[in-house]
Amino acid sequence: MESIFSGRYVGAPLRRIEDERLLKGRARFIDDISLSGMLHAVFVRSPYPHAIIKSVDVSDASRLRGVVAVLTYRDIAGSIKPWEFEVPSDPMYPLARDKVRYYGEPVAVVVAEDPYLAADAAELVSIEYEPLEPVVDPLEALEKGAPRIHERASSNAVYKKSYKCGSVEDAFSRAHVVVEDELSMERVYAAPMEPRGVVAHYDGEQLTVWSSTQTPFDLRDAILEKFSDPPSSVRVIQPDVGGAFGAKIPTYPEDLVVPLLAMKLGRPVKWYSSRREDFVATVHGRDVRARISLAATRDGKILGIRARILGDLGAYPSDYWLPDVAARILTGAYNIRNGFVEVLGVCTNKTPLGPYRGAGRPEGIFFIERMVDLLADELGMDPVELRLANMVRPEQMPYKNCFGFRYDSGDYPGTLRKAVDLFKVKDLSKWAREERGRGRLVGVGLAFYVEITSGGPFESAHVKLEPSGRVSIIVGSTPTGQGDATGFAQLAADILGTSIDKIEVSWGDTGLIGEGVGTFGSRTMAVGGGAVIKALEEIIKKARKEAAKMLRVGEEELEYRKGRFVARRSPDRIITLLDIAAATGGLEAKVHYDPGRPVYPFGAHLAIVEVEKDTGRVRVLGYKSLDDVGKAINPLLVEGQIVGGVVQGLGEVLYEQIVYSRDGALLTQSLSDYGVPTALDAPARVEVHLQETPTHHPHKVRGVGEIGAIAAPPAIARAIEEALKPLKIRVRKTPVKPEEIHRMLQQAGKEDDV
Amino acid sequence: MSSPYATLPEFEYARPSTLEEALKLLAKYGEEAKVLAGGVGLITFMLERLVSPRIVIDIKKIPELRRIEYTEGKGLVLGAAARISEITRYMDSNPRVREKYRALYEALSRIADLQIRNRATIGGNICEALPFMDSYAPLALFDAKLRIASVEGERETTITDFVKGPGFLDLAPNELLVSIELPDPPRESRSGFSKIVPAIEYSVASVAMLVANPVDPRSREVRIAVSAATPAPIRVREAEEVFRREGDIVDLLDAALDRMTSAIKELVIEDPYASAEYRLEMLKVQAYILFKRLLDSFLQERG
Ligand SMILES: Cc1cc2nc3c(=O)[nH]c(=O)nc-3n(C[C@H](O)[C@H](O)[C@H](O)COP(=O)(O)OP(=O)(O)OC[C@H]3O[C@@H](n4cnc5c(N)ncnc54)[C@H](O)[C@@H]3O)c2cc1C
Repeated sequence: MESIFSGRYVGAPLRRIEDERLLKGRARFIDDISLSGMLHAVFVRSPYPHAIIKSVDVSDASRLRGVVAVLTYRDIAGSIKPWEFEVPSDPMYPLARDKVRYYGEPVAVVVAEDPYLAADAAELVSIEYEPLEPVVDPLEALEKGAPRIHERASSNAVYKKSYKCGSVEDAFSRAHVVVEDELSMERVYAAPMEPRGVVAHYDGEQLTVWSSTQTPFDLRDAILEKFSDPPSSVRVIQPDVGGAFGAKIPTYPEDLVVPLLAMKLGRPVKWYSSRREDFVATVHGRDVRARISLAATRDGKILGIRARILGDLGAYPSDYWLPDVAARILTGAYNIRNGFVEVLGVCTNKTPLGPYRGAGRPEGIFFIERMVDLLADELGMDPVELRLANMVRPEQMPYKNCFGFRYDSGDYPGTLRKAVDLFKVKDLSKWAREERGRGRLVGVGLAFYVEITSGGPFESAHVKLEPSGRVSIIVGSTPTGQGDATGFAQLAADILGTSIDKIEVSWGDTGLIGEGVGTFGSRTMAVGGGAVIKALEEIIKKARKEAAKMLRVGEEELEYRKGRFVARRSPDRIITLLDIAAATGGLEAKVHYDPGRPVYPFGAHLAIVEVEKDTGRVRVLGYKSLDDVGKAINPLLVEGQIVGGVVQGLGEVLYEQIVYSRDGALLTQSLSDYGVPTALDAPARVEVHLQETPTHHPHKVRGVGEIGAIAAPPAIARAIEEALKPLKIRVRKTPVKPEEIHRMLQQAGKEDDV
Repeated sequence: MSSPYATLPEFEYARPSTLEEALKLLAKYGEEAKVLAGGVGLITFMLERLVSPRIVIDIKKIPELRRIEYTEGKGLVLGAAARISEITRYMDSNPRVREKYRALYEALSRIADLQIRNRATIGGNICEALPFMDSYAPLALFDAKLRIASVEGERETTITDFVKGPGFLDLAPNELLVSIELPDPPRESRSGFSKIVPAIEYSVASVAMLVANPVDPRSREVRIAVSAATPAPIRVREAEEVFRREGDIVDLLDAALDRMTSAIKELVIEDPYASAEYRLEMLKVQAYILFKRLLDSFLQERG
């Protein structure tokens, strides 16, 4: 097939075709769905982080007029199987059985004629608890005698694994310099604009479920698998989703209970979470700490790395693999051949941990980039030079890192050099030095990252070229605001040689396409796009057969270009795809695309910050990025993803922090206690540069969804340290709040006086 | 944990058009009634079931409560239901009034965002009674008089007597805050407001300051009021007194801030958003910066 890069759409910064409906208010989010006779569910949640449920009395609640049902574990025990996890732990029941393990765990559900009644009745459900001692600090959870969270696990450290390569002992014994530090990234909440919600309707045969999710196929499979008496047909629809950021990947208790209620009661049921509820009922992210040492020679060659990574998994270890990803990406862009990392996943009495934009990579990259900066300071070396001296070189690609990840391709040192030029790092650093000389605390920080995208197992696409020339594309990808439909349409329009407004993209409905995987892990344009291309290729292959028949030439005789077949030796024999579609009643293809190996985007980010001396407040004045995202199908979408990720990363370094009291209550339960960055906190402009190292995907895409959130924290952290020079201040954790900076400034001031 | 609500409980709704009617309703329902002004706070509290009034009395349609008037020599009168954005807009079109009550203007124009300022009222801000309410420090600074009414009659109080602590007002269930009167500030005075809002929505330390006649030791006056760092607003008179001493005003600042520290140290709030130490430090830092700013503005005027 001819190149897909010769058309007018691919590579163009088109505005999103999705936006018109959104801007005109025609979107349908979960709470916009209203079915006739619909009931409303409210979950009764545990006020204790750790307790035995002694008894539940629903009689007062049930008596309220308009209340249709009040259910507890006992009522659904025979109907839904609990979740069993891959690591030693007790099962998680959709409604807690005899024990609650986190503040906010659902214990009962009230269904009523209207949401007001349901809410009032929920107040009347009386549950007797016997409080158990909770543990919220993962280090305390590891101590002997700590309250045990899962009876089936021999300790709260439910996941343990280690990775190594080379000989660490040897590396450390040869080292001239060893730097060691403790670093952490705080527990955060994804805070999508739209909280979660579910609506379900059962007509006696088919169960239809709408959920604000990233994974409708998983949800359908979970219903089929976990319901002891599943309906004969299940259709899961993902309506418009107001942001997800990974937190809508898991299938949640409410995703199963609400459909079951609809089946049991024979009426549609809706549950829509409030913000307060979403804070406890939706997974939290990050919450990883590390102790790391780097061994190096005097002239800055990193010899080895030793680390212990501890992830706080919260009450249920559904996503125990998160700290594992942080551990395995821990050597970052550097060629470190001796390493040992131990990973621990620890359960505590908190909301379960789950994926959040970057899922393990932001943590690993924050750790290694912070350590490399520390080493540079220790050696008195320029951090850029130190990075260049240790980076994986292009001729080593593909490169298997110390802990088993296989980086596919890329020139890391070349990219860093290019970034230093593009960003004008020398000028900026000079400017910052001069400003500091005048008393302004400004600093410039740089970070380099590598990360993993386009994971499997596959993605699906179903493309139809109608006789009318309209093209319908149905994908298994499930975008939640990224604009992927526009990118898919660009690919299709160029490959089919047609106009983009002939193309319609649909997604998020298991009834439209039987199998699919979904949008997460920056996989959609790469893997979903790959599926779209594969389907289009298949259509062209079918068309070629038809064209050969119609033009009476051999298939190999035909050249396909921009929507038409031309016979090579008799160029007057031409037929368009449209003619073929019209003549054959349309062409269609259904495919699965297997992405094969993952690909690894990489790049450099730079932050310019100013610290207010008197208060410790930090302002990000400027931000620049150079990212190798492979081919940018639509640079405007790419830029949107980078800027959004950067602002989320900024929130993590400067503001965001889920806080539990020592006795296990969640203190940050509203957006007034939990600081999400707004446009006012963002730098006025993010200067985005793109670079393109091809990948094995047909359209050469690398993935872009998470890089901003991965690169911004270490870049901003370094910029803060630079702003506070010559004071030796270390940013060891996120967030670093004004108060902490202020305290560090005062301490450093005192030490100076001595 | 009570279930997290996205919905309001049931309640009755009344919208009196006179003060008298409103007071009668309050007298009749007492504890079971809640006054609704902008609703920015009340509706949230009801959503969260922190309050579940039987009747909600909407005071927005009472013309008397919407007043915004400045009279030379008497001062500024604000009806309790005057919206925050109406007050700042009034001041924008009367720059002289704005400059007289600059600290109030600076505080009000930085409450939340425009949408909230368009709904929230000055009375609601006062009666919400959380330590960080931005109206508090300026009202203390300008010796504001709060007029409180009930069917039994009227009384007058000050913001520091009225606000006792978080969620705690000197206000009986049958009483209504009617208006706020800010007497004319000293002639030739300058004032300003400053707050520290870390990651969260609200201030953890707010300061309002006023300086009058800085160069004349006999007639000069410095006023300092703080809020957000303490459970209720405080007019720090101990610190103000320092400026009555002999000497150059600039040289007295450190001593005044020391007095401020010792006067309020024991009262400063400590919570997950900010330590007491940081809050206290931020009160001092802001007082210092405000002081310099106000003095500079005098110098500029003369220079
Ligand atoms: C997102 C957000 C951000 C915010 N940011 C800020 C901020 O930066 N700074 C700040 O200061 N505040 C802030 N607030 C709080 C907000 O300013 C107050 O909620 C608002 O001022 C309350 O005014 P209202 O007219 O809406 O009061 P209402 O909600 O109507 O009433 C609040 C309370 O006062 C009582 N009440 C009202 N009027 C009277 C009266 N005349 N007499 C007796 N009782 C009365 C009510 O019964 C109720 O208990 C914020 C609020 C939100 C939601």
